[in-house]
Amino acid sequence: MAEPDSHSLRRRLRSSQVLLGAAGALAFVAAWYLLVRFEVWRFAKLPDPLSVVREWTARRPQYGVSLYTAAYYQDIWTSTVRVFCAFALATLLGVPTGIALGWSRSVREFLFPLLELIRPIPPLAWVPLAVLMLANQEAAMIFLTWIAAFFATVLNTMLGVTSIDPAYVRAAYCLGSRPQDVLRHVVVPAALPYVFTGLQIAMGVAWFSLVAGEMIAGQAGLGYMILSAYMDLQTTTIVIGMVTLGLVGFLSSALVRWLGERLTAWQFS
Amino acid sequence: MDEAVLAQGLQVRSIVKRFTGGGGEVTVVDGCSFSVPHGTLSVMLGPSGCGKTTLVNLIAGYEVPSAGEILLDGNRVRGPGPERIVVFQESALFPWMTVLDNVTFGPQSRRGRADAALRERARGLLAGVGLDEFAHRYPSQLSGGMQRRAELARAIVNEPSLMLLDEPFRGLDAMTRELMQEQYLQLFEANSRTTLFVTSELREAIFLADRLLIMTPRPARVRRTIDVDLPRPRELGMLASARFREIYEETLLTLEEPTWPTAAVS
Repeated sequence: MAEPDSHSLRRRLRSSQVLLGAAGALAFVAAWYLLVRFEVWRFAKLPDPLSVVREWTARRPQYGVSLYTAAYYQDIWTSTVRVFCAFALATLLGVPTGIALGWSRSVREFLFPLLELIRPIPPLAWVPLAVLMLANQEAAMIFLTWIAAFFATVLNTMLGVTSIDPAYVRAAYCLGSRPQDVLRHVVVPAALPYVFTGLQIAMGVAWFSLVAGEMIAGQAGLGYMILSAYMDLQTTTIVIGMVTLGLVGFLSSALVRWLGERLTAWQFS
Repeated sequence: MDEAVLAQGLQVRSIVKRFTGGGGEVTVVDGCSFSVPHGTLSVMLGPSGCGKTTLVNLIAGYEVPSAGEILLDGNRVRGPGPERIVVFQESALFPWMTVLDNVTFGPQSRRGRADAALRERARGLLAGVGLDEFAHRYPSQLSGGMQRRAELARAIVNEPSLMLLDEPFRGLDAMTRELMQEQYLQLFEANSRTTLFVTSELREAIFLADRLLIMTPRPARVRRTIDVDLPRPRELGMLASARFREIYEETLLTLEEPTWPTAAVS
């Protein structure tokens, strides 16, 4: 019975939870430091957290990438634009496709077997065709990022539509709705929580596929930055790239979750 | 003149409904006929599983009868429509709309927009069922009894020619249920909509009804009609009256009669 706006924020900021979360992160960093410092197994080859932080915050970084270099932001920007273009396309194409699949039996029978055959093909297997098909480098990257996100959106939206309680649809028709009203006022809002579950998964797989694509066929972006650092054995830069991916991935998922909670506030009241 | 009056209200004529399932054909309703006069409340009473809900679905237009016809105010029923509103046993309020938006949904989706007059009328109905303060809450923030009342308001706002209520108070605790019956009666007595109310609860049936339709076990057919002449407006105190007891016993005897003789006739 709490007010809608107090739900997420207050609950997430309960102090004991924050402390416990911080303790977990701290334990991880401490273990990392000790393993590198005492050269356990092959951890000697890795940079310890302190040297990563030092490089990351250096005005003149040893390997050319830090918070003070333009190249760093250039790579973040390139990857973020690709992910958001792919995510937007996945939403614009995936949600209507999912609704059509869930709503119409004949659309489902026509398309679903095909989708189920294409879906298991990993994004990486699409790299050669994407590069051959799309002359434009950006378009190829966006296509690779889009494909898995699209399937996650379609399937969850479809699931959302097929799991609507038929009592709602019946009630709407009984109250005099036309099919287009049922679609707009019943099907879409009822499926929205599932749609946002799909979009959150889509955001995750978008980053996943993008970095894989950039590592194989990219010439810029965070994936490319990590791979080229690996080629030059710049291990601190690799870790900087990884941590950055963790941060932008977390932030973009949080954005989707926040939007979803705003649009489906009725669920949390 | 008389015929025009007779044509008002609900008329169910020799309805048969068969379903073909895995094990062949099942007859759920077999030659069922009855009528609900305009502006009155008939209660269909019968054992659970006797086919009452199937009859409701047929009258609502969700199902098509295998034989026979259903007339409302002289017009044949051919599919769902807002002149026949169903209130189901499970809450079908839309959880993503506020209570007020739920109530205005019907008229709004037929007219394309909600004007101030409609909202005013919806608020009036909500006040009538004691939900004025909850107009801007979501259904999940309401108790079970409040949800049923909101659902009644959502049905009545459409000013339907026929209200169909299929065990609307099932699952409520005994006290809430009695309160709901009283509030529902006030709503009915103020609006006098032609109503078919389905229940398997004997006291509830007599307390609400102008006329009882006592059903046979499956396949469903009306076994007997009993007119309930308790005065209106009614109140819970009448449950203790001598007339109530008489009707109660008569109904009970009918329900307990063996089925064979009546079922063998046709």
